[in-house]
Amino acid sequence: MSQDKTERMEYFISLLDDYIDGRLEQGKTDEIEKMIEDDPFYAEVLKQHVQVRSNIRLAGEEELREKFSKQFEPIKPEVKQKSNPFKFLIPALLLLAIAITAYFFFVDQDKSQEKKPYLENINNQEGELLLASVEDPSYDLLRSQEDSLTANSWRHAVQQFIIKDYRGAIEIVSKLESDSSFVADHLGKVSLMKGVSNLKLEQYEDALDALSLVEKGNPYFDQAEWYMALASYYGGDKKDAQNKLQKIAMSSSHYKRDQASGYLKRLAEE
Amino acid sequence: MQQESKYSEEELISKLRSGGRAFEDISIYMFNEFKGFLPKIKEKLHLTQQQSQDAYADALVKLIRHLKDGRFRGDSKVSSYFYTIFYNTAVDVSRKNASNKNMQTQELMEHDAKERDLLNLITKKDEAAEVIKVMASMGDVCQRILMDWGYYGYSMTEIATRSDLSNAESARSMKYKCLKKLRALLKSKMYNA
Repeated sequence: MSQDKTERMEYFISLLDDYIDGRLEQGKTDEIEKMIEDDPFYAEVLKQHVQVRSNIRLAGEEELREKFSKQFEPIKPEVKQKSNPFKFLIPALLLLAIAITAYFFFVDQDKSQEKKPYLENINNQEGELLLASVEDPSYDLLRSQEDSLTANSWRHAVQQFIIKDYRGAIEIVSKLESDSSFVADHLGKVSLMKGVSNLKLEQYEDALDALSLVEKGNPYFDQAEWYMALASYYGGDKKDAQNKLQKIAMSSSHYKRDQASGYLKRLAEE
Repeated sequence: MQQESKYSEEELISKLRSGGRAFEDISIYMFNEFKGFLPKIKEKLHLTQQQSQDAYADALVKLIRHLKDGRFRGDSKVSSYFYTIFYNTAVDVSRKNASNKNMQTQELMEHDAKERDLLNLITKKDEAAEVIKVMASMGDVCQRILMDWGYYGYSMTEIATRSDLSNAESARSMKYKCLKKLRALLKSKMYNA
């Protein structure tokens, strides 16, 4: 390409953008169009220039698209939630802790009641010690393994006593008393049932009479001693009750020692 | 740029067409301005976060092109116009995903208008990627000058400043050389293809 042709080409190219954008003055527009018309080479150069501009625009758009993409917050990968074995552990432990706490709370309450049963668990709202709350003797101690008519009657009496039909129990025991051998053999438990039944029926004198038959050395003596104290207490003989209760309270081995102290305390407050 | 400031549609188009820094700033403004459409389209077309973001970026580039070249005639609000572009782009993305799943069994014998658009888009993207590759081979200065001039519309004085050239005349001369080089590279690429 000659110097003249090169210069003409550079001149042509320098006008192309304004020509394509329509910003070229009319005289130069005519000049460019004449060059394109006269020489197909210039037409080819124009075509290539348009193509290059189009390509640059495409590249520019791609760059802008990248720029927009970078404006977004990075996407956190969606992680599938793995089943967590500890997911239910904490609630389970909490429940367990509550259950244990509740268990010990109630067990402790029961223990405290055992220690001072006649102070807390038998008081009414006025703080009175109620006869109705007086524990019955252990039923096991009253049961007999003998297989006889008398023994069956006894078992029947026990059943009545268990269902708190004290009157029914007394009736059966009274009949049994006609069997002197049975009474002689089982004086302790027979007297205990009769005495406690009378106590519950508020027949305090009868209760004391029956219970006093249980002699020292009899396996049921401790229980008889305790219910006699109660019979005196509820029968209104506070002095006698106090004596009997003090005796029990001072006995280190008596099974109602603590409860006797409770009653004594109540008596002192009255 | 103050993100709180609001631009009228006329201002928006004017800034886009004026090019340079105003063009770049208003592009980012538009990016933030229309982001509210993202969750709606994502949910409507059941797209992933990535797909909806890609569609959004594509749609915004298209909107800018339409606003610059006058294809947007102002018959509707720019936001409504954008929503239509975004929705259609997102539909293309979701179709592309659906067709990818059945690529081995599906043979497109005839293309409807949407499919043609989609194929055209893919072709153009490939073409753009090719041009970017060619431009990258020219070096950073040429690439930056051609982009600033050919797409962002910076003035020669601004290009000189941005590319550490002495003045506008140097920038113009450099641009001429870079264009010549690009033409040659693209030509050889075309002949070798």
